[in-house]
Amino acid sequence: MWTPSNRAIGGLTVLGGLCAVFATLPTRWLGPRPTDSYVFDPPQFSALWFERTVAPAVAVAAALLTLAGLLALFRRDRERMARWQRWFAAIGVVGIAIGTLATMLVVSVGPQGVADPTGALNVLLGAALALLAVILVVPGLVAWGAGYLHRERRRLGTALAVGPVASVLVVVANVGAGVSFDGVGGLPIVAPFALAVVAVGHDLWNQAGDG
Amino acid sequence: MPSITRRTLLGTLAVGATVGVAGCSSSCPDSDAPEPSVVVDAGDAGGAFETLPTGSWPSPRFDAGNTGHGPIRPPTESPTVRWRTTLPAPRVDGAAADASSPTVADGRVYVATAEGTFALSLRDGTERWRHEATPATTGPTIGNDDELAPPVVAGDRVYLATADGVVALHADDGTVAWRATDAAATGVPTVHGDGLVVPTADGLVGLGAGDGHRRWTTAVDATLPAVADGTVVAGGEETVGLDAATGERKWSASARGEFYPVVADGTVFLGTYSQLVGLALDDGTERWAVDRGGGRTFSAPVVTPETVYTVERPTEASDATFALDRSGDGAPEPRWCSYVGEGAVTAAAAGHAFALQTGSTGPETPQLVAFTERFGEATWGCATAARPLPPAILDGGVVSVTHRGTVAAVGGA
Repeated sequence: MWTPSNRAIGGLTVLGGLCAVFATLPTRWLGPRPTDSYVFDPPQFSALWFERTVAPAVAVAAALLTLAGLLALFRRDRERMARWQRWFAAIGVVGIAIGTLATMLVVSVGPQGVADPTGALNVLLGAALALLAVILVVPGLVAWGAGYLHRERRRLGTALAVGPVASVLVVVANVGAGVSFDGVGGLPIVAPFALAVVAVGHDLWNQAGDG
Repeated sequence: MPSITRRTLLGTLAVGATVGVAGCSSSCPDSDAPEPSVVVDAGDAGGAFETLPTGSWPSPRFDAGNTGHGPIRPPTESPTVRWRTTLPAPRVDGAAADASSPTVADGRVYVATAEGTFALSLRDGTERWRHEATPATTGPTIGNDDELAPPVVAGDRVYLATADGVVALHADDGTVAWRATDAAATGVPTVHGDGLVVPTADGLVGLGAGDGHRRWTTAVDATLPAVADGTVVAGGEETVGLDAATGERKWSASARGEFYPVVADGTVFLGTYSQLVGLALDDGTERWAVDRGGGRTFSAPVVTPETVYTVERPTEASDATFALDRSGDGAPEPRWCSYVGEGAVTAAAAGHAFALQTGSTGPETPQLVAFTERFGEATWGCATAARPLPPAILDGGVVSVTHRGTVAAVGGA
């Protein structure tokens, strides 16, 4: 069976990280958007159209490419991982897969769907899955990254260990300490994780096998 | 004997709950109150108009078709309150408000309270004259409670629906031109040509506008009948089309309007318990229906050449203003919607719709909001100490009356 090279997947993973940033760009940066009402059919290429049409597709693409990148990394390095690192890596990949499913669920509902009970249930289910994904991804990737740091793979190890934790800390600062991120939307939350994804892609691109 | 399994029971309950919740919730994804760019505090009056607003708003929904839309250019930027006055407005049992909504013509503002009908100067709000008569209490046109019938202006006459019948006054001095006291009025008069259609205790009555003589009577309920192209549209349990000249029934339709009919461009627009319905004015046949799920009542709409505005009222959720595209002869398509708490949209002019929204009152919370036609942006709002009634829109001005009888005039900067 044909499988794409790690180099190709690495490139796609970098693209996934960039997509994650692109999908969370505050819409107002792209132009004015109505805020007092819900517009059903926004004009093409308007900020609202980008938010409704482009951003959800890009978000799903980002999640899928991230999953592909981490799967490729796991496949590439699993033989050289310690048993505990392999387990945590598997947990991290499962978490990312669940997160991808959650993204798809929430995106499939769309902004209108929340008004109907089925859509609201899908959003609730998506939120629950996203929470489960966070619970799995954070310890999974942190421990996976710690294994790389132990083997002197500093850039990859730091990216995997620090990226998800930094994202969680931003959420804690926002919700717990009331630090405001007005005007930049979800960018501060996604950016550290997206940077980690880019680092994973870069590593896959540069190294066909574990050096 | 068949038995109900636990799975069947739970499934049935789940489906029932889903269907029930669907009918109770709003179909508008917007859940935040609009925040207008400018909020005018009706308590801050700046003085008289230097340039008097022109145009008129002669009946509660502008014209005989009740469209709520006029060729008017209201102030849309930097509005300020020019004057404010409070009329004597004793409580009226059974009515939601102690004053009627305003009408405006020829530089005078007309408002009815239990103390009578008042004509105020549009320039500064001073009283020009008053006519002591108890206004009729009509069925609801925007909410759930009865209302006081507003004065209706046509030419040099002001027509009052009163508890004693219909009274026509001379607009310049308030003296009586004629009275038709055969039966108490129960709704708002509609003027068309040389005639007047008035809901009364006898039924719907056609009167001559010049002298008040009764032309016809028919047993039809109405609150605010619409007249267009020689046809009177009114209804309670069913909607009927009558010949405006003779009162003869032309057609009837089973669609039951929750409030009052609106007629524009040969179509009767009805907000019903579950749909916004369009009927042909010629024969009453249904042309289209907008259905956004069961259990959602639609208010009587405001109809402009491009847009139909209505308010969706779910059973157990907040109301939402909807702007619908009028595209050809088909059903209007949703363009935008906005959360309004509990509200109504009663007027539109110059690319703006004017919506009432209820909730907390005070200087921070506008109860009258102007939305843009295209994207539903709230350009300005007016905060009043009490809930406002449907406003009168003018070229360069807006006149608003609160439930407690405070009249305020807003003009451009």
